Amino acid sequence: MHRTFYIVAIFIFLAGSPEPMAAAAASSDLTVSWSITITSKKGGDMGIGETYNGGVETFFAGAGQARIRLVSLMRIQSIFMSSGNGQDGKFTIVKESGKDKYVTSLTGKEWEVYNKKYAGAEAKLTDDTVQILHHVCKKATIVLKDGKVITAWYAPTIQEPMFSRLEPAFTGIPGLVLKYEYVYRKKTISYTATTISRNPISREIFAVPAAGADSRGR
Amino acid sequence: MTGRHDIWHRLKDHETSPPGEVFDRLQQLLEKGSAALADQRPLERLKGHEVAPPVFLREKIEERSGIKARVARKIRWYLSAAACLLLVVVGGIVYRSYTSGRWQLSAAGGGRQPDQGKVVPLPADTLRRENDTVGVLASSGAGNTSAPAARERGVRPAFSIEGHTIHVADDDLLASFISFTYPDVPVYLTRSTDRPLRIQIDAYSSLYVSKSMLDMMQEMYKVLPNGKPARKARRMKRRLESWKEKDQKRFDNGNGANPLDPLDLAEFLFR
Repeated sequence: MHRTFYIVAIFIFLAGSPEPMAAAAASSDLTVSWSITITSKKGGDMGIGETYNGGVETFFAGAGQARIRLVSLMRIQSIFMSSGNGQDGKFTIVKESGKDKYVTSLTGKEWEVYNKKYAGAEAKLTDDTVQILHHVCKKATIVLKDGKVITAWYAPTIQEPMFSRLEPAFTGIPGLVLKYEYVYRKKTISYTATTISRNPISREIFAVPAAGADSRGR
Repeated sequence: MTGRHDIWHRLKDHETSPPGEVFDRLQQLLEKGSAALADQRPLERLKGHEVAPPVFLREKIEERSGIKARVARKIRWYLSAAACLLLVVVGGIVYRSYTSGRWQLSAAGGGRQPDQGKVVPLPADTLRRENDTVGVLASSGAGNTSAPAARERGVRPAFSIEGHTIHVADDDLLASFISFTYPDVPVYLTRSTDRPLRIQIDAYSSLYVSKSMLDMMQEMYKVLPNGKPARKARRMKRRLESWKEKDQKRFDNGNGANPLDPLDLAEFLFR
């Protein structure tokens, strides 16, 4: 009788908490947030740039799916990636704010065309290091075919292949990029990681809005 | 007869005192007579006498009969049952907190509104229909498979400022912030501050409204003594609305520009 009691109690405990148990097992989930900063050597008001200044870009990855989300005063927009169709994958761009929201789906090939400016980009790795969120990051310079340059700092200790698929600028970088910046007309846009987490991610985060579906009853 | 060598001769003078009980009994017989003796039970005095068994003997007896073991088992059982119950309760609490509280940011519990003012709901979502659906649909862009989209409640951001949930029409923060009507402008947009304003989106992200942007908001909501918006305020509002149009024209026309791409975004913002 005692053994029966123990078995029943343990069963209740395990059955009552399926998600945390499953979640505990899903330690491959990754969430990284970058804060967007727009600066100028002259300083002062950045004009329309102020509507993106202070915004945040968040990368979610887990269970073969990924999403990168931009949240700013001006707009909220995401790109979803799901592995499928072999290695090509499926990409979905979703504008989530404003009166005119939309969903656009791209195949792997279409995604490559969409990001064709990064084709042939060369990543030059250096030994310069900087510490970001307690990770030692190395510097890399990405030079595009048209001569544009992106400076990035990456953590070799964090590997996430889906990141470079969603951010094709970083295809040749051997680690997760925690900071990157681009200078254009003497103004700089910087993305600096503010949080990294391996906590389990709710699968709702990867749910792409369905075209034409009513949201009631979900 | 003298000089005999029998062994009993030496015991001639040997004396042994009788046991005390025997003496007492004899004495009673002599004093009271045989009639009194019939009423006495020989071992009456020992009636109340007790002798405790040795300790080791007691333990052996309990061990053989199982009394002590039963007691120990009972205690262990209660402890185990309590531990299992605690596990179940903890598991239930963890499960509930994980599933119920994670995706929603609610107003600060029990907190009263700040003294500076109240948070006013923004204008009703322009896309809500009578049946309260949140469908937002318009397609845009030529090209591939753009299609109308609907929002899933589960992934919708839940904005909050200083612990208070705010409703943002169409999830468009800028459009909402420039659409207030006097005197319902929230104080977090009009107060003087040196710090950026933090807006919590969900459990993963929060964004900051820069000091420069807050200055623009303050200017946009300046009023004249007669309560009407100042000329500068109207000009600022037109400026912000024009930015909105430019942003939509650049990124929402299906021309391949991607606001999530650092190059596309920078070249748009810095031109």
